[in-house]
Amino acid sequence: MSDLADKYIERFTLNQRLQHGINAVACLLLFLTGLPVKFPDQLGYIAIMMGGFNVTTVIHRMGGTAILALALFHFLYYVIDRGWFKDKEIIPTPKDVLDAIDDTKYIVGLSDEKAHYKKFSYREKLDYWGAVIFFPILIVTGVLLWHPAFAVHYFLPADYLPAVRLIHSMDAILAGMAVMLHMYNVHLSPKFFPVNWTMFTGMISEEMAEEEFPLWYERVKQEQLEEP
Amino acid sequence: MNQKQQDIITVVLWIFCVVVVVGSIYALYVTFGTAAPYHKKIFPGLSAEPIELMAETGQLSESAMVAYHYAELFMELLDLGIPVFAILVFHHLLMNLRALMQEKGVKF
Repeated sequence: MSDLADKYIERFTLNQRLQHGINAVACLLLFLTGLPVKFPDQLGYIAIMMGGFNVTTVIHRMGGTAILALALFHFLYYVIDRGWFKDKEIIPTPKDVLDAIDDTKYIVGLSDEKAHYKKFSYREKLDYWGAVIFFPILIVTGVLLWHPAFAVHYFLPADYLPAVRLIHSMDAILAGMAVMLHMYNVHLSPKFFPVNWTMFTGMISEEMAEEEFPLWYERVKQEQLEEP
Repeated sequence: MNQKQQDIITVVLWIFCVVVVVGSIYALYVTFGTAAPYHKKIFPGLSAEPIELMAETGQLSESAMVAYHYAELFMELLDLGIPVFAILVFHHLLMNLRALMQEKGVKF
């Protein structure tokens, strides 16, 4: 093990970790309480184990409230902080496509080196922007289903609600798939199995940073050198 | 802006967001009454039958059926995401395998 394995650098701030934690717990609760509504014959036992549908629907709404507050916070915070635009770390770029091509070359043996990522690889960007696209759909349809009288009063005829319900449930299933992809990328991948602590501690070992995100690592080291 | 100011703004923003969301939900309850017990698939103005059955048996208006079919079509398209996710996991798995082979000195 090299010396770099014992040295750590910050990858996620406390604010980001808290947001991620709230998102993770709320999503888990939403899947746990939402899937039995979608598949009552197959998964209804989950709702029964949790105290029945009267309990799970309340939990589902609590989870939805947390996601709604989180989405609002996330949006406002990044507008105020200009985080999306300032460092552009999470914005997709053409380099991501080239990185995916380079990685494919690496897989099939046409190259001996995998792509050199910046702070976030195309996989992480896909996870993030997937959530940014899926969540507004889930939030809007969720609120309309939560208060159909409000929805019908202001937005749409009553018999459009089946379409809204279909979009909400299928989008949630797709989001569940994205969560599974994310779980593989960050925890189940042989490199990180059984758990990757970075999102819990906010720190990543320099060895891992150099290996996984070499361009970001170089930039961080450069910044450290330039600091007075 | 120093770190302390940034922390204060973050906390204030959190409180603001929670208050806005909880306040809006409370306002919805006050204005429109109890939330729909949608585990029973009941909506105001509609029968208590499952909505899929309503769509199948032609109980929805023509425009609502169109909306329902468009929703289905839209979600079918989004379902393409599932094989995309499967390909991405497989891609990552193969990358790990390749890295392991390289580590062990296996010739490709």
